[in-house]
Amino acid sequence: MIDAVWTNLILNPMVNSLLLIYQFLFHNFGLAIIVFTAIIRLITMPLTLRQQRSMEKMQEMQRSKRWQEIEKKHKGDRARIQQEQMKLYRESGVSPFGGCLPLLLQFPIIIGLYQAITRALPTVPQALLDLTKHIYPFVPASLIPLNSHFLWWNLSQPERVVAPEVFGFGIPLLTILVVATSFLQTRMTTPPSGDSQGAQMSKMMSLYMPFLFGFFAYSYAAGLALYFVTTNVMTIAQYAALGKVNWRSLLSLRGTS
Amino acid sequence: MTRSRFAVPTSLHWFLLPALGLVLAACAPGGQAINNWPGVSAGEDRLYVAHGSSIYAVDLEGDELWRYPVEPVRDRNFFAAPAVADDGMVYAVAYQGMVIAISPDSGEAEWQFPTTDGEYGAADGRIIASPAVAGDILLVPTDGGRLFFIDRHSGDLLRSFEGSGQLWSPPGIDGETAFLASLAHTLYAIELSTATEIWSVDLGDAIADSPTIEDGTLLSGVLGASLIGVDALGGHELWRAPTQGGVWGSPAVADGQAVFGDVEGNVYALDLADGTVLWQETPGEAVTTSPVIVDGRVILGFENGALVAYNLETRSRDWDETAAGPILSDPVVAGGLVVVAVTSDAALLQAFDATTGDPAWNYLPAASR
Repeated sequence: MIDAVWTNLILNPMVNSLLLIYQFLFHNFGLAIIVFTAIIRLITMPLTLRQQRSMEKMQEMQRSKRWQEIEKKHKGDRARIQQEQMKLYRESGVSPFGGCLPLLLQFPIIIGLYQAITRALPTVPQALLDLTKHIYPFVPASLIPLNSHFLWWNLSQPERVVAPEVFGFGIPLLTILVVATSFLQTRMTTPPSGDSQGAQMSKMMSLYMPFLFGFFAYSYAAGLALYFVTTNVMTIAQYAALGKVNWRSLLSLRGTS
Repeated sequence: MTRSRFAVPTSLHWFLLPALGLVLAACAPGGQAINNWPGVSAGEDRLYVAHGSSIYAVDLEGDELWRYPVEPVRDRNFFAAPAVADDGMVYAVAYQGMVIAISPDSGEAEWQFPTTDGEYGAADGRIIASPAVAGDILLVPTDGGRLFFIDRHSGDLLRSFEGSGQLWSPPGIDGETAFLASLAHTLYAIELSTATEIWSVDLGDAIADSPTIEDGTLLSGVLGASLIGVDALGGHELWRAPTQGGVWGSPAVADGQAVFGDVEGNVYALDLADGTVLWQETPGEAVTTSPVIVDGRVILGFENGALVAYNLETRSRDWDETAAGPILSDPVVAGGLVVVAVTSDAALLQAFDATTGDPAWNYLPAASR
């Protein structure tokens, strides 16, 4: 039941949209992933903005004098601090989970996008059979198989190194791009934190998360890595357009605080 | 300074989103499993089935003779039906891009041919298709679009042919010519002695299986819902018979009829001369297999596990049985039995009497030895 709902409401529309975009973009699956990711980001923009606003409100509150007083007054009494902070949340009309709901709503979209990319590039007979069964009648079957080559990558396979004969060792270029854009995105879109612990956490994440994504990019199909790069660049662009980019954090070597 | 457990770190959102997505995606449907499409082929007195990390040799009573390798090897998956030469040699291909010649008596490898440096993914080296034997040559199509010509006695590479797109089916052999189908819509005729192209034709849709060769006509099913007759000499399209669903397998031919199924669950018999429909039935389940013909019956395997025998003369069902799991790869006939490979907890191979359909035996490999 859940499988059927998921497949019919999320996955199939995404796969078929991806195929149609591919058809209009000169049978270039790399371009199709980039445009498809951009469209999805635009559709989910209201959720993203809501999440962003909610986080800003929360941060403002955490920097407020009253918040600091609560922490100072009840130092050592964690339960009491939390109780008072919850009270403050209620009084201010801010939900501590306000940033989470839009995030949770985006989960199915992200998962669907990932699955749509992998489903559109079957690498075994069963996957090809699944794909042929889920194509809408108005999508030409002649699109199959998709051309999975984009620049020097095969998007259906994990990235292999580039130009080993030139440098004497291979360069996983797409993985490096994922790590670099993830790092930039984190640094540029993380607002200054109100407390040292938060700043420390942000700093740690800005260091290790890009490598985690790099690991994903290197291990999964290269199409997914292309999605990561696209979504990172779009996030930075979106923040820049809204004037929210934290340039200080990017230039600072001492972290985001 | 103490931080509330309710205060969500801001940067965490952007990281959690795709990271959790990936984790969930791994659990959600849509992954590309490579162990659910076992392939079976028949030798003179035995069967060979490729599944998981092994090739199993099974006699016609359903008893295992040997398995290769004896202990499973990590990152090596077999599912394409092995090729069996006239002298009994078995040629298996691993998905990760390896060809292995196995002695039918000992079950030991005599040689192996790496199409890449080992790991799949490098240089498009995956192999989906079964190999084909043409005299002393072993023909191995790859997912990267290359057809290797290998000396089947030594394992040496003789030559290769560069096609376009993914090659997921073995070439059909007719005399000195190999007919090779590509998922990228092209059907090739290739000279065996030189590995050069004689002709090629774009059929407009993906071709998942090798063509059936009958009296100078090639019969190719395409995923774009047609069966197409092509002149084997010149590569000209002779006729095109539209179907309701994509055609995955190749037709079986007898008495001037070509019988096949489509993924929408239709079975067709076409007139070989012009592709007109002689009869059609709609059992309703997808067919991805090529039928086999035994004693005036055409037997088809279906994705829902049904195995149906149609009488070619009366055009009616002679018998039908249900296998323990989906039948996705071609059935084979050996010793009066029709044998199917399935993936289920009950059996990997199931044998049925080809005349009556009565179940004969099941074979399920022991988990470990």
